[in-house]
Amino acid sequence: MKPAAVTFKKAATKGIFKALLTLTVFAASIHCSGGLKAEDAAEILRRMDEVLFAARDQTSSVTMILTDRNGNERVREASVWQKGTDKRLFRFTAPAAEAGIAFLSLPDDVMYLYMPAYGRERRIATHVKNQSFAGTDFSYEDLEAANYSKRYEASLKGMDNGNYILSLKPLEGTRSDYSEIIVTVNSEHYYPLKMRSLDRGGQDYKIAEYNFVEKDGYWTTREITMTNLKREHTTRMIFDKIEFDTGLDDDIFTVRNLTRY
Amino acid sequence: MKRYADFILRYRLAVITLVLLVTGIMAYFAREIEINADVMSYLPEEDESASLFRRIGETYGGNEMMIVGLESDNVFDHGMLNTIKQFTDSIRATEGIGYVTSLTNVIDIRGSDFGIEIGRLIDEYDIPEDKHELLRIKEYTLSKDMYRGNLVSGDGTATLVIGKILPGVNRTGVVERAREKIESIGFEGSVYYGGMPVTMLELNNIILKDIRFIIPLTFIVISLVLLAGFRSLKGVLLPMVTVLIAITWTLGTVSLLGYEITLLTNIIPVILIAVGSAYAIHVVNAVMAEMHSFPADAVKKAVSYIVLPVILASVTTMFGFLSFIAGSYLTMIREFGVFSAMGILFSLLLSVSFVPAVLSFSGPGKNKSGRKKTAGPSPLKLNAAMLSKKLPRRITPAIWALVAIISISGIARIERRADIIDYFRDDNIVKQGEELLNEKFHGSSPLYLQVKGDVQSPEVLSAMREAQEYMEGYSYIPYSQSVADLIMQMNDVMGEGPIIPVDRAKIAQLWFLLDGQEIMEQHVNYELDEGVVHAYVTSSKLDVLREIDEKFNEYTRLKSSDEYQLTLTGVPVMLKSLDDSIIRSQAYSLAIALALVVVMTSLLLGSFRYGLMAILPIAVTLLVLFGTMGLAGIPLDIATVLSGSVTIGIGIDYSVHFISRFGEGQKQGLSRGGSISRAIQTSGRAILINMIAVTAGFAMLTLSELVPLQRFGILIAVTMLTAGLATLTLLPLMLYGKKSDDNNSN
Repeated sequence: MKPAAVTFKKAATKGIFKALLTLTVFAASIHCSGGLKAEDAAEILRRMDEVLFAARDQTSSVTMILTDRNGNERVREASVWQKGTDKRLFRFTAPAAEAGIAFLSLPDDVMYLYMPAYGRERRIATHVKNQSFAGTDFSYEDLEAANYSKRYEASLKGMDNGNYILSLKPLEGTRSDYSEIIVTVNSEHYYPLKMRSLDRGGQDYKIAEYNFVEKDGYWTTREITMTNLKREHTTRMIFDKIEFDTGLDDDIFTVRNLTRY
Repeated sequence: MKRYADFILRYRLAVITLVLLVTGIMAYFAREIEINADVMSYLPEEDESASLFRRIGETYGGNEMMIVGLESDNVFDHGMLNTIKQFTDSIRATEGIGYVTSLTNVIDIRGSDFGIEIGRLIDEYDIPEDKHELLRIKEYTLSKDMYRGNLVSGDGTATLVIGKILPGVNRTGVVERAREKIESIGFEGSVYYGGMPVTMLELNNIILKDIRFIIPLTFIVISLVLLAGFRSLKGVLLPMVTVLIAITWTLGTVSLLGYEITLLTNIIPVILIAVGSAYAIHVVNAVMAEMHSFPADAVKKAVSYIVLPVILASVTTMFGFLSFIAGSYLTMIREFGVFSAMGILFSLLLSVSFVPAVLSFSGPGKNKSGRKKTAGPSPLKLNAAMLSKKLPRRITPAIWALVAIISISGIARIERRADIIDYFRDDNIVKQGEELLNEKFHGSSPLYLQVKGDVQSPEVLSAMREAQEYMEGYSYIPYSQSVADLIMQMNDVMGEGPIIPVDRAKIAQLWFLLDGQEIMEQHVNYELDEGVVHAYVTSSKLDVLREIDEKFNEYTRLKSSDEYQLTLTGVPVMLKSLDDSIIRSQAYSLAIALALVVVMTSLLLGSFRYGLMAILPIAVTLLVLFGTMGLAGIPLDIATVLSGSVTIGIGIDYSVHFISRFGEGQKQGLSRGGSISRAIQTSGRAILINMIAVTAGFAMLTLSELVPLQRFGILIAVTMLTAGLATLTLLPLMLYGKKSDDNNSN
């Protein structure tokens, strides 16, 4: 008799568990269909954009640690100045052989490259945004300081530990190397926690994990770990010496300043 | 031998049980056997050039490229470009593919007055429809070395889509999945496939097909021949069961020792069916001949005289196969030799233990046919007798002399082939893909120049470029590529011309721009102390390969310095080594096999003269073999090189059995003529049946899709016929000797 009783108990537990699960799913679906609609997904994405581009300007230094599939590491350092969403200067400071190399991004996809060994700048027209930036796992597209909500259509996929999971699909006319980006957004402060990008074949391509901290009233990226699953290559970008709203001069973002090294 | 026969009879139940038990165990292991179609793994590990080639192929991704070729009237057409995009997307979406390069996604970096333009050669999101725009793109594309001959043919009619397979995944599986996707795209032009993973998949499929189709067919054909020859079910069933057991044991051992089936070991079952069956046949035949008494007595009597020649015949065959160990370059030839010899050994062991043990259980005198054939005048006997005695005595040698002369005239014409691509039939996709690559692109045989040294130094980059110019000066090497080319292009883009900068800092900064590009992984290692120049050779002619090997090795020796070292490797170098080894193997293995055969037969027949006589039919057969190769245009390749030793191994069976029967007759006090008649009646019959069976068995190999195996099948079929006929016509003549000898000895 004993074993039968145990079985019965187990079955009962299972049944209760199942019922609970169904309830939760049901509640969640009500929550989704009632509390959070498609426009809410767009709203979440808009708020994420607001967090990402909250400061008027920002300066920081960044350390990039590149790790290949065999565990080999390479380290690069750079200083970054950014104003608004469309002006950015990226100047490498280490290793010595690469020190001084700089990228200047201006509005309307205008970009200049400066190489100190050549002593002059060259304008770069990049029609290809999926190229790796400086050997990292970030492409130009990944680093683009452009609002996600202008390029992607968001839909809410569900919740994970109380955070939103959005599915971003490129809007008509957006040229993206990704068919979909699945982004986990912190539901309290609206900064991204994780982005999983799928290639155009719908396969996992890249995974970015974010570490945000609050500084001077802004939520800002402290560290991003980007893994290219196909290359089996990882880049850690660690931001340091972050300063906001120091009133960066427009002169910083000029070709003349670019070549002054 | 009588004691041995007693032993087998006493423990016959134990023998049968043990054999069945071992077969069960071996069958278990044989089921686990795997196929290895990775041609690279056949290269010897101890050879420096081969291991460097393999390492470069693995490190720099050359072995992981799946190449898809598309051919139509004009590649630069809106519809065609859309198709290329579809192909590109399909391959890219295949699991296991890392990245894809094609006309519709290749990066184009150009310097202009404006600055640097980094873009796509063709915008895949907005493929132009305008004729003038398409023509402009065509002209631009064909003007650049990076694309012409690499991604698109010089005449603009063919293009390549190249997929790089990720490391550590099952390459053949990826190719299969990608092909499925591609084939669902409706494209009206021609599609071609190339690259090492595609070749591997094809070989894998062919090996499987051969195993599933040719082996059972050989089995059936030989069974039918034996059935027709012996007109007895027992005479067929027992040898065939024995062969099946021997095959199981051999494959089980291959698997147990951790080896895999290669494109050569794949034919071992066919060889065992054709050759290994002979030993059991001889034993069954001998026992049947004695079947007028009780089975146990018949077995005892037959075993006592048949075991020795069977052992001798099989041991000589084993040596024929083992002789491949000497001088063979490819590990698969060595494995083939060892495992074939092992299979022969198993066949022998079973024939002299299992077969008599089983026969001893059969009823007495039931086998009428067996008795009838040995006693009565059979058509076989008449034929044999006619061949040897009834023909005027001078005509037989005259005919053979003529055959020999014709053959010798053919020997000088024998060609040699070492190219892997020749393994495939003309209608095979790998062969067709290869032809496309050689005719319209920069070729398909990769040649690598390894450069060890600081690849960011101007000196090393200049040395690379200099070596490339030297290579490209050779008419069979249309193109080469290295990181030096990329640096030169980038320097040009920076406005300082297509040269290697002398300033190291400039190189480092250009490098920074290239860093992380997938193409860099094909050119330099992570530590930046090694680079590779990729080139292709459009010819597989051996004299061309030999010249390339000699000239370039001389070059690398002269140019290497303390700062950098150059080493050449690649398919052409491998092919040259392979060809050298084929010739060496042929010489070694023939010499070893012939010498062993003379020694063994001399020992067996107790006379050096007989030993020499025994190899005469073999010598004639070898002449015919090589003559046939020369006259029929069958080249010496990785499989046909085996035919000489296999011929010696199998052909000697005939001589040994015939001469030993003759000796038996002499011992019993028969005259020479009588002994010869006796030998023809008994051994002659077995030889004829075996000859037809082996010929038919090997002829089945012509159904293989691998050309060397087809050729091997034809050659062995021809030589077995020759060996049989030579034994039955020449040996009687020689054994009979001059009339006076005969009178004296009587």
